[in-house]
Amino acid sequence: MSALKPPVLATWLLGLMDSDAWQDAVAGDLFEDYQQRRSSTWYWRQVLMVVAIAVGKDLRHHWVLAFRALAVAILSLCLAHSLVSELGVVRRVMHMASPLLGWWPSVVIVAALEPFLICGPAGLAVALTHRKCGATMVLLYVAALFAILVCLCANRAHWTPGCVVFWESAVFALAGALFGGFLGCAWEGFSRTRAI
Amino acid sequence: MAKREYLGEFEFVVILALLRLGQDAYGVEISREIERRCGRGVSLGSLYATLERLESHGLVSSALGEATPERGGRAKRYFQVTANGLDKIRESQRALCNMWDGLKQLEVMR
Repeated sequence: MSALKPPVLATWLLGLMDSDAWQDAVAGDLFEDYQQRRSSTWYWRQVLMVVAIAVGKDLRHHWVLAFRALAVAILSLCLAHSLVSELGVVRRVMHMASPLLGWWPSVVIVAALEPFLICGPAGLAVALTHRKCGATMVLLYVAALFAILVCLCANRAHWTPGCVVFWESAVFALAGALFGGFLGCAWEGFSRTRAI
Repeated sequence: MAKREYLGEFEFVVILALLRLGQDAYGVEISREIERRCGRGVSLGSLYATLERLESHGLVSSALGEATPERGGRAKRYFQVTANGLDKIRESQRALCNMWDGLKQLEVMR
């Protein structure tokens, strides 16, 4: 009987964590146990637990790297923000989209695009500058961004159309950070494999 | 007085599971043994975190086995209790028994 494949995304997430001999044994155990339990929910829960524990361990042992990751993230965010402003991305998109879609839909597009373009490269920079514990540092950056956005959201108690745009920006900022970060980790993993 | 470190409850359970399993003690089997005997599910993440801690304290040692297809081509890591670990668990057992002795409220449970 051929082996049942566990959820691909969860396995990929597990593979992003620093691959030492321990991690390999955990991945093997999860694979073996999954063949009997055959529950994707169980597998996901186990993977998230392993990732959470690995992140905690990395942060405890490499706290200097964690500070460096946050510094790289802040610097990259400032740089990306200046670049996006300098290139006039918002103005250009509004200029192109407004006549076709109208003003309000164009605002919605810009509100998604701008944070994605700012937070994505910062995630990429964090992943590429941290070969050791790259995934942990990306998750730390995303968590810090999430905390800042939650604080900003908490100050907007009244429901206005502006609020919707703000929340949309927040969601796309987090999506951009995760996308950029994991892209960087995947690239690091790919170049490591090629080097071997 | 010198500081003495006692084993935590989960560490205690893990070492006992290793002793029960003998040569066949690796992640999946250890978690199943604990589940079978204690009736509680164990996440592999917390199990490995505990084993790693025990190994860093010299109470447990580990060795890699061979990679097999039923594990997606990944190797098993086998664990064994060291002589140090055996001393520690005896010490913890003694301490627990001393606390237990003479407690009338718990006599029925024993």
